[in-house]
Amino acid sequence: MRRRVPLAWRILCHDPRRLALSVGGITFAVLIIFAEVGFLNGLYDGQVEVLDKIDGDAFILSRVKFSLAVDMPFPRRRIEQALACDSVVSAAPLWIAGGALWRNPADRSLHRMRVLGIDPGASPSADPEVTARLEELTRPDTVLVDRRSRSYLGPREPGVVTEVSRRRFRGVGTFDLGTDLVFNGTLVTSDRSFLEIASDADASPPRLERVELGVLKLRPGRDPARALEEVRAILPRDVVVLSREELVERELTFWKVNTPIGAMFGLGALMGFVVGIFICFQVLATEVTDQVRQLATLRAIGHEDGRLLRLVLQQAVILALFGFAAGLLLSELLYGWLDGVTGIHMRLTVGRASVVFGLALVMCAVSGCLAARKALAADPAELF
Amino acid sequence: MTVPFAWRNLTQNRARTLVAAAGMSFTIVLAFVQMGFHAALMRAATSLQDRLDFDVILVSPEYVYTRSPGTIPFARVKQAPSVEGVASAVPFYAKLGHWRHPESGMRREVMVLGFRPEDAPFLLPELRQSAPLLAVPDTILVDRVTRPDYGPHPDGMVGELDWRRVTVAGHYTLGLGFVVYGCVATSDETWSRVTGISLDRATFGLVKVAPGADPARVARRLEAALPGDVRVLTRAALEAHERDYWSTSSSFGLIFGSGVLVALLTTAIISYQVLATDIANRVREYATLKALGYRPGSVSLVVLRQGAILAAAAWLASVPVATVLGDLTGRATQLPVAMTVPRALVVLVWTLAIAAIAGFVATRKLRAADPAELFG
Amino acid sequence: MSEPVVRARSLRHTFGAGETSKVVLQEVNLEVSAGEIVILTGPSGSGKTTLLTLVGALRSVQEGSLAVLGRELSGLAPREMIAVRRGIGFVFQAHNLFDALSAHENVRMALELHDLAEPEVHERARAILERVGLGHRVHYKPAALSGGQRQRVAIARALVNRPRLVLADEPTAALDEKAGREVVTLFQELARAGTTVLMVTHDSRVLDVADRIVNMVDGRLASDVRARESLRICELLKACPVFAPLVAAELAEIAQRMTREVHPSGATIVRQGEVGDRFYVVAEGSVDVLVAKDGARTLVSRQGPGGFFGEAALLTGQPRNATVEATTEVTLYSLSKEYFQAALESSATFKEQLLDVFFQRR
Repeated sequence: MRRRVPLAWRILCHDPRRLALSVGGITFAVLIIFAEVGFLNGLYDGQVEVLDKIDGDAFILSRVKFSLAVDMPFPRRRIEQALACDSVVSAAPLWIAGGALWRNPADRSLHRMRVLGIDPGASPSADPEVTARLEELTRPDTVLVDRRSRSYLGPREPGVVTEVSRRRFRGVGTFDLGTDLVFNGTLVTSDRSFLEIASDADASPPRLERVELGVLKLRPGRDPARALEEVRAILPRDVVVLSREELVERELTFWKVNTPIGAMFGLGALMGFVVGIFICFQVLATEVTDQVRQLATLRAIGHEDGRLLRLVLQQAVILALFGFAAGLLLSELLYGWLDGVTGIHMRLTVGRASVVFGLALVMCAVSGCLAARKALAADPAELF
Repeated sequence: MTVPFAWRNLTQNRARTLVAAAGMSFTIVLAFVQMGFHAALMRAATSLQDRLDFDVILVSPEYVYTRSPGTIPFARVKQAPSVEGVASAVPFYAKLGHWRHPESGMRREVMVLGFRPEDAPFLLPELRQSAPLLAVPDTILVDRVTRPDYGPHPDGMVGELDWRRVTVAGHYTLGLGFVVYGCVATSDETWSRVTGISLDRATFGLVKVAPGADPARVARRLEAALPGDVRVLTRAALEAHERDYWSTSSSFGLIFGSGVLVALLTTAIISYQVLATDIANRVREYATLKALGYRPGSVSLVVLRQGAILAAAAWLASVPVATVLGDLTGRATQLPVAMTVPRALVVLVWTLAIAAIAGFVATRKLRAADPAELFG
Repeated sequence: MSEPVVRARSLRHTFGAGETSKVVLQEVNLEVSAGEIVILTGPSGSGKTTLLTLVGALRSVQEGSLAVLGRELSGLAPREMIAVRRGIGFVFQAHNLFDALSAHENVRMALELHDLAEPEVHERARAILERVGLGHRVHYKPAALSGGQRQRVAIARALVNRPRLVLADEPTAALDEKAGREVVTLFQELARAGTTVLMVTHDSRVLDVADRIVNMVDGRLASDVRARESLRICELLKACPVFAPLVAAELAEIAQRMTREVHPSGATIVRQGEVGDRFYVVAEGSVDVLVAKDGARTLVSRQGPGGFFGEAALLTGQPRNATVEATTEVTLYSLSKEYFQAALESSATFKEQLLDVFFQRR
């Protein structure tokens, strides 16, 4: 069994302070990438977050409603029509309005909030905190407030009294949803209160006969695709029926294709990537330069070029591993902090972490190759 | 010692200097890009209001920002000219609607602007010239900066705005950036038909003051004269409000703001690193100077000069790259991320400051070192 | 004689191109045999370092031929050059050790190149470090070693693979008295065991153990003195009355030009009647001088160490007047006719002495 001297490892660990700085630099780059990736995904996720809080297998929406963020309702009748289908166990309406005016109870500033209106008797909510408060919502002028709404919206704990769309409302509970690109806060209220809240002065008054989303629960055991087809067959063409996955997909596609967010954060991540290459290259190149005589000696002894290349690349990979590990840990903290400040759900998933890991490896490998070229310039003939 | 010394030192080893400058350049470009996005955000905040012709503006007390402006009674707009200093007051209407892509049928969000064709209260000559075309009912002018995925909108095309058929009569160039990605302008009557909102409920009252009058004073007078169902703001006040909203309230503001900070930090760290390494590589040259008998002060000057030249060179290289990048990004995203002179200068100052710090720290080390040791 | 370890023929080397080109080596011819310790000396710019790098396969041969360890280096592909380097031990002036590795690990870096099992690798590295006197510091890093100790680690690294050729550049420069002596002894042992050592040095202690001293000036071999052997020959000659009056310089010159010959017992070195072309001095063993006359051979004299023969034919120009046979294995130093004549010309006393002896013998 042949054991090789772990030269790359030893060189890196020889000066702990330098190692810390080097790893720190790479961690910095990894953090930038994590942040950009986190924002991008968080913003996209945020757009469909609300669907997670709804207990539905399929959804009815107006054909022309191009995004969950715009108010484009369909006739409530369609929901009753859907119930006629055997595969549909229950169908509940969900009203959504984007323009409720919330007045911060503390400093009296005005802000726009999204309002979700539900029928307490037929609540499509999957959120236990909301379900617990349905009874309270039946009382007039009551709302539940999203805890993660931006802080400048002011106090929102149960009992707070405030003005929403010029009417007095009382907060009777909170839930957890999160902000997105369009909305900085969300309220949940009963259908009757919704009428009052959502009457935006500069738009046509809302009517409970016009609903944004119809939430359907399908009979278990049936093939969902067939069930959807059945419902679609029953309903007229002014609405579409989509499964949960289809709706999420559709919404995400809208945000990905029609807004420059992807490009912007992608550019930011690319910047982080290139910064990482630069930092890693600096670290490795400095090291090569410091040890150029030793490297030349290796060549004089008879080591092949490949040995030197391997040495530099091994160091690059080790740095990538450490930098990523540190970056991962710090990102947890970073995500937590950003989550709290912006209300965006910054989620560290295995998939995203893997992507960043891949980028970190490539980043260090590229700079490793560049630095290796320097190593190969170590001329053994110069040693004499 | 004259400047050429520092200069010649640098040009001596072109390759090394170039690599150092390139590294710094890159991070400077990064800073420019992030600042561009942030600036685009700030610019977009008042992109509409900037192009409207007014000195004082009447807005709803419930005005949150451009996308949520609330309404004011038309009566107040009629009342305004009665206040001293007011030359004219015209109503302006703005609401978010949706435009149907003529081919795919997909709908997209647009800002629908409405005004009396004879008023055309814009600072854009093109719009003012084309305004009379809007006298024809159900005609619109389309903003050229509307994103391409809204579909084609050639002159004469009949499209669907909200639920109403309208004809494209012409174009103008505005661009609302982050606020909304598409924009059309119509006459007030068409606007009312499209949105279904009565002309009694205007969005803004655009007030122009008499020549020589102070807008701030006129604003105060209007505030006093008009009841509480309108707010009166000067242009500056409105801008401040909008910017504040975008920087603090929107997620974007936070993200881009921090993006700029991170970019400037990265520039600082890497530039410092590059300069420190460069100086360290030239230690022998400085040692030679010291050994030759030059005073430490003179040597320090050379170091600082070199750092400054390197920083300036890096900045100089990054400006065209960032400008081109800004143009491309701007075209791709339809956002105003193009380079501006103030931004370029701010970054120059920042870079030179970093160079100065790096040079200062290095010279302190050099002072301490013994020339003999340096030759080691 | 076995194949020389290093053979350079018409070796030329130029640095730079066009206007700034400098010819560093011109027409270098050199042969180094196994077990020789050869010193390269010369002023800076003389090309000795370049020669060293060429022999070490660290630079490509431009013009001429250079065979090292049996392989022709001229025109060799880089991969093969690397293979040649593995058979050579390099000792540089700077130790060039990895600060991050212990002495043991630094030595191992050289062992990595050969397919050896782990226990063997470990042991060999340890053993060579022991041999250079660092057995108690095997796991220390360079920072914890003195300058001399570091150099010894470097030497250990160079020798651990038991190379047949060692190239060194001022190996003892950084060492103190004691350490330096040890290294010199080490090189001696290596040479005795058959390793060839080619080094650049100014250390007088090494000069003492050197077999040859090659002096280079302006890219040429100015002189190639068989140092030790020369010394021996000089001593030999000095003991010989004929040569006694010669001064050291003259002796050295003569010694320089002498060629070593070894003949087995019973061999005929000079045959009566042949053309005489060489002059002989006996270093070891003994020879019989026999004159044949009328079919019978008479023993005229027996020459042992310090004795000489063959001068008659060179002085008179006539064919050999006797036959000389080796009675034991004999080591002779012979001088060619022209150098013999030159020696005669250069020293009147020598000529006198020789003529005296010559006539005496007659």
